[in-house]
Amino acid sequence: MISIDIKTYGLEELEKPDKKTILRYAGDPLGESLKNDHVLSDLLDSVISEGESVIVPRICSAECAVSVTGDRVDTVFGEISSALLAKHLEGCSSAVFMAATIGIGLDRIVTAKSRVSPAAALLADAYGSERVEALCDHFENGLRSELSGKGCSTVSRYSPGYGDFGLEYQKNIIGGLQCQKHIGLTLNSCLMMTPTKSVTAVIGIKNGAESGKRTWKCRECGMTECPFRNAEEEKGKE
Amino acid sequence: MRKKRRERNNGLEITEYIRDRILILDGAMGTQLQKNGLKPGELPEKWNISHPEVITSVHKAYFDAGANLVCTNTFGANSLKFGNELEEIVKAGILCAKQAATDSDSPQEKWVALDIGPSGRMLAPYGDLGFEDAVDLFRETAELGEKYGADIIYIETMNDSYETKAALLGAKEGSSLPVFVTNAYGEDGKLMTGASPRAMVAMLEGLGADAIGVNCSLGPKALSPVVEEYLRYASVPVIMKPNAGLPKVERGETVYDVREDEFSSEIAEMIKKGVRMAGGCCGTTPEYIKAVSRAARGIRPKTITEKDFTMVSGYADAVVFGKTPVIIGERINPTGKKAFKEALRSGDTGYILKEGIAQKESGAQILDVNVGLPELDEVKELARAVCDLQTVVDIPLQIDTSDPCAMEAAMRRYNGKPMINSVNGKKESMDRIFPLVKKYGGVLVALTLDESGIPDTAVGRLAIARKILREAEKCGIRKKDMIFDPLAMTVGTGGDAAKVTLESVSLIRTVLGCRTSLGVSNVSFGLPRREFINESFFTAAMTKGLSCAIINPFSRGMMKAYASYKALAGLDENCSDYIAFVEKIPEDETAGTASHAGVPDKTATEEGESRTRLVSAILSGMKDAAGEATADLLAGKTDPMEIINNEIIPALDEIGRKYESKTVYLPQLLMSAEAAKASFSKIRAAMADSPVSEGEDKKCKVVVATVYGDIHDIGKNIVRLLLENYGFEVTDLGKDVPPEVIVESVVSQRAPILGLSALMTTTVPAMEETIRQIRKHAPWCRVVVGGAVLTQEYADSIGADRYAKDAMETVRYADSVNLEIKNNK
Repeated sequence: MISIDIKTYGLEELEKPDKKTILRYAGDPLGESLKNDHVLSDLLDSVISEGESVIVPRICSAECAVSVTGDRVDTVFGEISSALLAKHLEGCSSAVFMAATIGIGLDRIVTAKSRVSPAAALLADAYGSERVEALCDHFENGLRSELSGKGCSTVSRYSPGYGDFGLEYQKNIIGGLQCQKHIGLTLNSCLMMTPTKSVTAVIGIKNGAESGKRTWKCRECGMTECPFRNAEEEKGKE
Repeated sequence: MRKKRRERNNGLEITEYIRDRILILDGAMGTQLQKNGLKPGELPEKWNISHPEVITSVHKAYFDAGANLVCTNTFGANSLKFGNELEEIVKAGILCAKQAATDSDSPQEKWVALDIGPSGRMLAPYGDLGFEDAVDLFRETAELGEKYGADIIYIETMNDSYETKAALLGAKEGSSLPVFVTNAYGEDGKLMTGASPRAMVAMLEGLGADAIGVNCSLGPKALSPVVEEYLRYASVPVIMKPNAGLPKVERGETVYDVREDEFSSEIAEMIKKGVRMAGGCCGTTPEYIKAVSRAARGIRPKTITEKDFTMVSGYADAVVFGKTPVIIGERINPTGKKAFKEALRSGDTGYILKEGIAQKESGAQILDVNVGLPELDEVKELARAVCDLQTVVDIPLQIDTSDPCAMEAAMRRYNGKPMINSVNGKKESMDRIFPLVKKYGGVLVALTLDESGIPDTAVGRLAIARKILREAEKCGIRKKDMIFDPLAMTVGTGGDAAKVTLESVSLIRTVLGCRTSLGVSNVSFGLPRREFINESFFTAAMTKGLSCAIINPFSRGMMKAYASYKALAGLDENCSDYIAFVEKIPEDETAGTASHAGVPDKTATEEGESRTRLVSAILSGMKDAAGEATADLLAGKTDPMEIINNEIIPALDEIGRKYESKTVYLPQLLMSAEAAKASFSKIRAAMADSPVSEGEDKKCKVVVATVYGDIHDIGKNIVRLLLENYGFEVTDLGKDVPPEVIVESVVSQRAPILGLSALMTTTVPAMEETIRQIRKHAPWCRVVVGGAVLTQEYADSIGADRYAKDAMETVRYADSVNLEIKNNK
């Protein structure tokens, strides 16, 4: 029997929206276009304030046992065949399966904006991506500090669709956590989530304190041509 | 089957029972099954067949605890999930519950409800399940429920208003059983898709639900404010079926934080306030139900009263008619609007949507929607306009048509309780329209005219209103859902037309006690400066007690009359609305000058070149300033083509180059594109009388679409905007577009270019299929593809002509194809 944890977050619990990240998602890799551009800055501010009035951040999650054998990960939600995930979860005896969303309100805003201002729609969409990532970060950080008190540590979240971890597995997570009922999250026949600003992921749990340093998310990823790659992080490499 | 059920409860039907008694419902099923060994991922409904004894024993435990009604183990039973197995699962589920009713010795009356939960899929436009497909899905399950002897249908845990409507409609169309509906609300007191409790009450009562309420999500205390909203607005019995508080994971087990005694005493409080049916949802057990049953004993049920609220709703909230008149925006109506007619004929829904958004921003509380043009298929177009509008505005709509078929199509697809315009006193009209309102719900506007025309006197119009009201009530339509329009007639032909209308408003209100509506501007037809007359007439009508008015919310004079009237009539506390209205006026007027002041007529660039005001405005992405600069140039008799060639095109080229050299990025590129578009639209308006000659500047047609199954269209919209600015004639088919629809559009226009977008690997097969069909039916067409997941390699492998990494590259490619076509000519 799995136990599902459901939580709705107040906006004040999350970090404030990070404008540089929003701009990065909107196609400006360094998030520098705000400098000396009050027209863009005003538009971004209005998009953020409208967005903040409609988003409802929600997460449902469950901690379950996992066992890694070769390229396979066995879980209560069904077996995962993924060499990369198996490597990522090496040494983990359990994992938290999570689904996060900021709700359908932002989808409505993006749809409406795309009719009157594609620039505002682009920024609203980027704002949504930034928020759902911030929500996941908040959850992950909370989990890490909770577990460190118990002498355990986490490995960073890993989502279906990355590397060889198939998108199909979203079905198992969304079905297993009863996401439609708990957080209003559904999957269409092409494996796209509604609300669009949603994330499903697995966070591995290890016994013992955190071994290595905090990971660099973009730098570790194999997709060097990714348009959203964090250029600042790249710079920080030197 | 039905006979046997009547025998069971001495012939008493559940709807009779709840008229003056409290009905006890069951508690959770899922938790009980997990305790009995149901594994994660296993479908609980299958246990109806594999473990009927477990299912029956859970039901029996609830009957033993005092429940009058148990819900079958069919929460997820639909053909999407179970296909051919569905019938067996529903049949077995109902048998288990009926067996439990027989097995239990507990003496209370017992009924069995066919339980229906959400489909598991999101409805279009945000998901991919079509509305009618959803109705079919629920209808199928409901038919089986009646076939195998369920006493009622219980729709539960719905957290989307649109899916709730589909389920209720399906249940009503698929069976003759009573239907109860409960929704799941979040901590914010709304459904996941945004509906408020009163919006749900309005819609569900309109659709004929026999009892409504809430279940799941929260504990009894946290749900109470939502239940109180139901009790305030609902005229049908209210249901409460909360969770046993909030779940917490303790030592790997889920525990709920509200125990039986606290749970039952909270419920008892709500029963005293008027709740008629109570039970439990997640985390509750037979113990909880026993406690509820005990606590409810001895409480005298509160009488259910008919609430006198006239309400219409959108997907988010309801508009409740009160003392303050309601503004209905009149702009979505092709009469006298050349540009709108053109947009309708060409299938450009953008026009309607922009009008909708702008009217709401100007203060409209409801939008009238009329798309009647003789050459158009109104049945299709009206439903489409209503659905499209509901993706961009949350306020209720008034469905305005004289075609009952178009009316029904739109009412069916509408998410909420609409306003309907209109019926009149002719028998034929009443015979056609009343059944629609009875089935789908709505507030109906009735015109006071009949077979003998429009009476000249107020008393005559009152008589027609009385007749219509009588006939409506015979059809089961309540007085509160009728609004009378005593017809504003022009004063231009002399006589006392306005006086009669005003008197009629007053009489209908005082004698019949009914609400009124007027299409205000008709009063000035044929006169010069119509707004003068309209404003005064509007004020006069409001003083007579007019409930709502169909007006132009862009008219400052009309909105001024409205704001002033509210302040004068004591309907605006501290005159705060009035002050807010006034404060907006100077702001609006100075905004133009401010942006002008911010952009001097000529500015010097770093390279020492000088720039005009228009070029600067476009480069800085200032939409309003670009529009004004263009208007000034046109007023100064600058040739429109000169403005395009010497200012707009060079500005667009400059920003395009900057984008390509990465000195500006996508947000600025788009803002400049929007500013250029604002400039173009001023020019287009100025040139409306002298259309551009079919010269060399006109570029070829491009069809764009996001492929089937894909619901992300940000990228495609960007491409469309840029292509339009560069002079291409773009047809945007939207998102999630089937291959056949794309092919049909390309073929019918003989479009030389097709742009396709896909976000994920899972939708690329649809792109490939579209290209395959294009090659077969439109071999002349070049296909350019883009989207997050695509690469040159990928594009080659699915047979596209070109991969474009961004919107600018698409424009460059389209330009090259355009040039090729021209050279070949």
